[in-house]
Amino acid sequence: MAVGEAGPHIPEAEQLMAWEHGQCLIRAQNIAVIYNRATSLFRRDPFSALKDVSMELYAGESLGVVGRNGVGKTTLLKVLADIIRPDRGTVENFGATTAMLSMQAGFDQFATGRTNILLSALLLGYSEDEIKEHINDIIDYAELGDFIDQPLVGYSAGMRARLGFSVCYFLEPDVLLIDEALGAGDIEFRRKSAEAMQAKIRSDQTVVLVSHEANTIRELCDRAVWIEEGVTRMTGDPAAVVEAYENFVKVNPRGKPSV
Amino acid sequence: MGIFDQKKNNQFRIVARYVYYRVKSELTAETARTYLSYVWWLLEPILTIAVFYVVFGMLFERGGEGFVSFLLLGVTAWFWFQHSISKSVTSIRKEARLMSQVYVPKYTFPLCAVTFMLFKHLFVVLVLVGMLLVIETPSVTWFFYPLIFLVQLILILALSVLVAAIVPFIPDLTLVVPPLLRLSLFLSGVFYSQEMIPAGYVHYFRYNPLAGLIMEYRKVMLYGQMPDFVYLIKIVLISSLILAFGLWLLAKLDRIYPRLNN
Repeated sequence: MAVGEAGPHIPEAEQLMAWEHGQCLIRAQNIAVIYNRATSLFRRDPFSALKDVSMELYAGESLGVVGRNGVGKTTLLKVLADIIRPDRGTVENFGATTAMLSMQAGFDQFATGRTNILLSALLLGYSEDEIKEHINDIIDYAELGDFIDQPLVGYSAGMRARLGFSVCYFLEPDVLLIDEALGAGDIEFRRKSAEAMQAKIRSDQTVVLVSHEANTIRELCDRAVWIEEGVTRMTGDPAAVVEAYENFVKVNPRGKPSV
Repeated sequence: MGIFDQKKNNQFRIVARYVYYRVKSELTAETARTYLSYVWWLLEPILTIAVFYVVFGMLFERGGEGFVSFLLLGVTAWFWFQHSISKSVTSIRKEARLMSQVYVPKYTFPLCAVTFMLFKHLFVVLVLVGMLLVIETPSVTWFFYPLIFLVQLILILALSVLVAAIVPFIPDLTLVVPPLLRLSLFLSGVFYSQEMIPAGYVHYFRYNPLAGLIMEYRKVMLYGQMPDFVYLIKIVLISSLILAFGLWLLAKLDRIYPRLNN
């Protein structure tokens, strides 16, 4: 889908079947995102989250994005998910569905766990029949028991995280976008979910993993991109990219205040 | 992944199903939160009618015969309008977290708000306007009630979409809307009729679509008169224009809203 073209991000039916391994799913070229922070009614303070980022994402790979806090990694994920459009540059999505792993952030607090699964799945493009097929797996995996029919206001933070993780784990989008933490919930579930996610990243699932922890990227990803101050500095083998990034951080402990 | 079966899923169908389940869940949640649940939906307008009856009917002696039915039609119509608009004002703004996680067409949110209030109001109308069956003598013009109801729904939808689209850019408006809605209570003839205002102002009074609609409700339900079709068509046309503009704004700014809280 070309930039500026209005309409749904939901792809056409014929494009949805299995992707050929190594096929390009998303291509971003020289994208820039400038936020206009409103400081008052008449004052706007422009701030470039991304200045010039280019990257490609191929089916079946896990792409790691490294960079310090505030260099625009989360903004990049939002662009890839077609939640926002870049101010400059182009993003082409060749028909892949995308979703962020941290779905629990958007849950409705007064709805039950079951309804939240349903609502999230609908937004990810599932039909009611498909949801019915998956809902029991999701509920079992989240280990919520009877709480699944209670409103979310009564959930602990750990329960919410478990529900959010399970939704994204079972409702596989073509491209899974993961921001920072792999594990979710309490210690026990965190171990379980981190392992499950690592298995998923190593499998054929296409993943974009954003982290400032270089080790995670080195261990799990096939390819890595390093972004510094909104610009792609390096793309390629994760070990090499991570090394360059770590060296850079050592020399420039804090080039720019965290945003 | 092969799981998606998009052939039958165009965007609007997804939104329609989302709105359906979301509204259903909100209605259940709202009734579960209070002990009297559904009863509150009725008590709110009933208590308001009681207040107006005491103040204007008894203290000011402005009521006259059939004042309860008169108030009932005005109060229910105004409540529907008022609740729908105030729910829509923040409908997009409060979904900031959801829309930063997954793409959602933004018209979904005011649509949820309007649909929620529609069902709530339908329940109120069935019970309270149903009471008119007992209080008043039925007339054939009662069949026009649903028509006026539909016109009011279009008006509400248009204004709801418009405020929902604008408010995220000018959050200060959330403070302006409530007093304006309160003003609409006093300017729309909820507790007085057109005949009670000075003749020179009647012309302007008719420019207020809510005032006009409340009058049309009373004409068909209480006085056995035909509705003013030209007036209703005018409201539908102007509302449609506002609705088209609001939807255009939402489409144009669809991917701008998730940026606003950054």
